[in-house]
Amino acid sequence: MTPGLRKFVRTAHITFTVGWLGMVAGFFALALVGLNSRDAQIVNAAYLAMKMITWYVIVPFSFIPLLLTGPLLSLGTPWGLFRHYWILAKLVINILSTLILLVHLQPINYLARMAAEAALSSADRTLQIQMVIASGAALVALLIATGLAVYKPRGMTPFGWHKQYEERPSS
Amino acid sequence: MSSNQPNRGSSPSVPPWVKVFVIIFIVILALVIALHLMGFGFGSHRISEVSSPSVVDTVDRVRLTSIGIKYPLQIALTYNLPATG
Repeated sequence: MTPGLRKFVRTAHITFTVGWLGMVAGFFALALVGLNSRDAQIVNAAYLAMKMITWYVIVPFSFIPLLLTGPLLSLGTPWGLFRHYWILAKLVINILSTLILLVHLQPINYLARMAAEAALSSADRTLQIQMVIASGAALVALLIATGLAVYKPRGMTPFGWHKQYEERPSS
Repeated sequence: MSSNQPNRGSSPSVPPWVKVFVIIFIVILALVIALHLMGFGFGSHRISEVSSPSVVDTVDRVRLTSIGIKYPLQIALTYNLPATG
């Protein structure tokens, strides 16, 4: 990968991952408002907004770093995808966060539909709490992933260690 | 970034932070599975069950109406209930 292309991909990767983190923070705030507000209009607006930011921002912002910029950056540089524990940990966090997001798409759609019909009731409380817990957990996971990307804690996987010695020029 | 480039002298032993990460990961996974088994996870089981205001809400409205409780105009028009004033 040329230095110019690498910088472009890195910029895109940082933009999408930090944007994902920011949107999950927004989702978490809306989930808290939806759970705690006594104003029915605000509650309904919160769940409708949650559906919008999920489909139009969070879903694309989670898939692009996972499937495109992340693999491009790691495989196109000496860092590799499976050579360092911190990159592996980030990969696991991103896959899990995306899976949790996909699992919650149906409940998000359901709450938005109920909100649109002004039909949210006390029976939906479990789902509302679940939204707060899931988005809070995702927020913590993405913060950890961001910390890993910045601090890059040392530690090479056995695969990376072997690769390193295979690639060493014999002299 | 350059300070942490692949180092040829690295040992393949697992660093402590990875062990901590794995332990936390296992604990969170166990919690998620436990919550799901207790019926608190993912919620997909009951989504199809509730598609309108709950039975409890309806019963409450009928009971309050029967004892003469009246509602603000907007709520009364929405739910066909007796209005105040």
